[in-house]
Amino acid sequence: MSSPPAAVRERLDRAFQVVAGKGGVGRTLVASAIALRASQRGERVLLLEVNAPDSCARFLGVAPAPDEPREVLPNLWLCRMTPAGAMKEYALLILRFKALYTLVFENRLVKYLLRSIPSLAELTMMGKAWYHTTETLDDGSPRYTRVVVDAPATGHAMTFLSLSRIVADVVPPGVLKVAAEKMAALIESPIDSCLHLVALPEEMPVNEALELAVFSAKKLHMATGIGVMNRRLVPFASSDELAAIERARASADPGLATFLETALRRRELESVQADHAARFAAEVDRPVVTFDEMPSRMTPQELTRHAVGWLDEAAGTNRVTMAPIGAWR
Amino acid sequence: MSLEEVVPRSPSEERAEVASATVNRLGNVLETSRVLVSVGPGGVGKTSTSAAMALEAARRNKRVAVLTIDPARRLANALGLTEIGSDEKIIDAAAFARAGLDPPTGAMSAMMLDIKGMWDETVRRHHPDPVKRKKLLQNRMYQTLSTALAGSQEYMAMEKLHDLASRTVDPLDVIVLDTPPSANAVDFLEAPSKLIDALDNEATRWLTEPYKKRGRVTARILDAGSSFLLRSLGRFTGTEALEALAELLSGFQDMFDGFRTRALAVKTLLADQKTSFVIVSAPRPGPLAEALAFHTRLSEESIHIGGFVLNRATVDPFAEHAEDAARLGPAIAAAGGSPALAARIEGLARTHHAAAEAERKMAGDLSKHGGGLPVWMVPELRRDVHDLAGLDQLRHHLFYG
Repeated sequence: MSSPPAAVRERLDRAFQVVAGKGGVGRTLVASAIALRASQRGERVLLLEVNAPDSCARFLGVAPAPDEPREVLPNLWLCRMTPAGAMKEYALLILRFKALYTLVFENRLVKYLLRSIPSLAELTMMGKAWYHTTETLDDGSPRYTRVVVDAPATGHAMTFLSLSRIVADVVPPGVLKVAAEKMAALIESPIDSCLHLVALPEEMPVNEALELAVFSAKKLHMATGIGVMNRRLVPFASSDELAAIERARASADPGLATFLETALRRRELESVQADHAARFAAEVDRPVVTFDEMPSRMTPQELTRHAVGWLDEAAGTNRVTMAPIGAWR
Repeated sequence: MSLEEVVPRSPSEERAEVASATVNRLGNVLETSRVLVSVGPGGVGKTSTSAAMALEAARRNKRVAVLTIDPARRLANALGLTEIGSDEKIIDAAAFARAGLDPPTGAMSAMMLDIKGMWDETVRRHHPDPVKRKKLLQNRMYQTLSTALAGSQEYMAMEKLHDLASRTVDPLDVIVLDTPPSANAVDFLEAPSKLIDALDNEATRWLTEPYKKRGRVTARILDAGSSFLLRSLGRFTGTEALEALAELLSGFQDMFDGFRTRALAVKTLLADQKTSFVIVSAPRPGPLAEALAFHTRLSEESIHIGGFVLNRATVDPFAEHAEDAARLGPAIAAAGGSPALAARIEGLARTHHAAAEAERKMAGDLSKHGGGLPVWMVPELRRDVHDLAGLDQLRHHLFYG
């Protein structure tokens, strides 16, 4: 089940990386770790979170993300995208004048109408993500060499990623179509983009990740990133030890049995996890990196540090030693 | 107030409180309800819980249907739902026999909500104008974007509930509705009005007005005569996109009265004495806070809540046999294991014990802050619930645990 390091390394080096999966599987941890690792290796990284306040910030140990990119750690910019903020930016880009924007977009009827348009929020946020990949510095080099998106949960992520193609195909020629075409081209780029999928070793999270894998291949035509199997239990006992527990269980009275059952249940959970992990690895169509289950007392920030280590291990790269996270402001 | 902020009490007091809260009354809820709605955050076993409640109803000799939104694949298969589609599938006696179970004396059927299919069905059945109906169904924006309309899933779940509840052929004794995972109860309760509002409001009427005035196909809403606002907006979206939107919105125009009537009927049904909501969650801080928020919101709407179900509770090895921990070392040694292994097992048991204690405390607080409603805790099962046997086991814990 081990993945070739080169395949992992190459996927973590794409310019536009999206992290998706079911709600609660650890997308934010994965996105934060990928972004942090790249920034430590000298890339200028922008980490975008979609409408989920503060979550990446917690995993990086920094102040909550603003609506505009802010350098929160060396080489790492963080920004939280909201539908309203993204819409405003896009509108300003086209209308060019703040006064005109205020006149049109602050109009009550227009505000109301824009809210009614299905998926416009997702489209404008994708537009903002795309825009940041095109930004340049004064010397013409890209402002950000990596843009990492912590996508919303499965259903919304599908809308978020597929909408630009749908709009480009469905909407009659015009400004919106042109913009949507550009976004779709980025998503479909086999060189610049990739979609990472995250799951827990449980049925529904694996199902959703696999659905996303199929959706990505068949509908989005987005290149494959890595698969992350998060929170995998570290084996509790060796097979010899298990045999000893089984023997003890066979002759145990009810009081003692309760304790031995605890160990056996844990073992059973490990084997259920192994089944789900195997299904994920076989079908997700991506090199899989495993993140261990860590003690619940561990802070998100410590977890991110471990995750960077697991990514490095899987990519066959050396850990870049840096000042501890949070020491820099 | 957060769930952790509580007055410290002794473990025995806590256990007594939770025990009184867990006196099993889910059966009573089932007996007194015609519609059961399970609500709660995602990923807490809401679908399995809904199906297990339906199974218990069938075992009590009732005709029951469970309406699910997005079941796990294997659970869907267990319910006979092999493909997307809103058709009702009866789970036959043979399926129960294959799972090694006695078939229920009543009848249990399951169905899965297909949002796009439901949209089409609603338009087909309720659009009064045949020409506009056909045009709407063929509209490309409708075809690709109708399912993405805010509140679409929830609205369609309610349409289907309305259908099932008002059915006169093969009437049902009990309907269990498994709702889409919503961030909060507001999303669910307000979805119908949100959807109707998104389609029909001052702003959409303002957009469709010039379009309607100037006829259908050849209409160009953004000519010299249109307002400055519309023209500026057109620069933002592209004029053609705005026109396509106007066409789509005016296609829905004649359906709003029907939307409103049915949404109102469902609202009445949800507030009915014979409708009970069951809040499904897990004994962890995040999901519990959400469960409490659901409770607050549903109470505001005077909706009847049966109680809380907390799935996947940690099994506590110390609950009854704390003193036996000391014998673990010798027992493991006698079986050929090392002292280190015995210590590891004890450590694991202590971790579980601490988790279970914390969960019991949280459950007590949930009941306390949740209007004294019962809390039913279901222990973490050994395997995912993905077949009828697992469902039957879950049912047993829920109603007789």
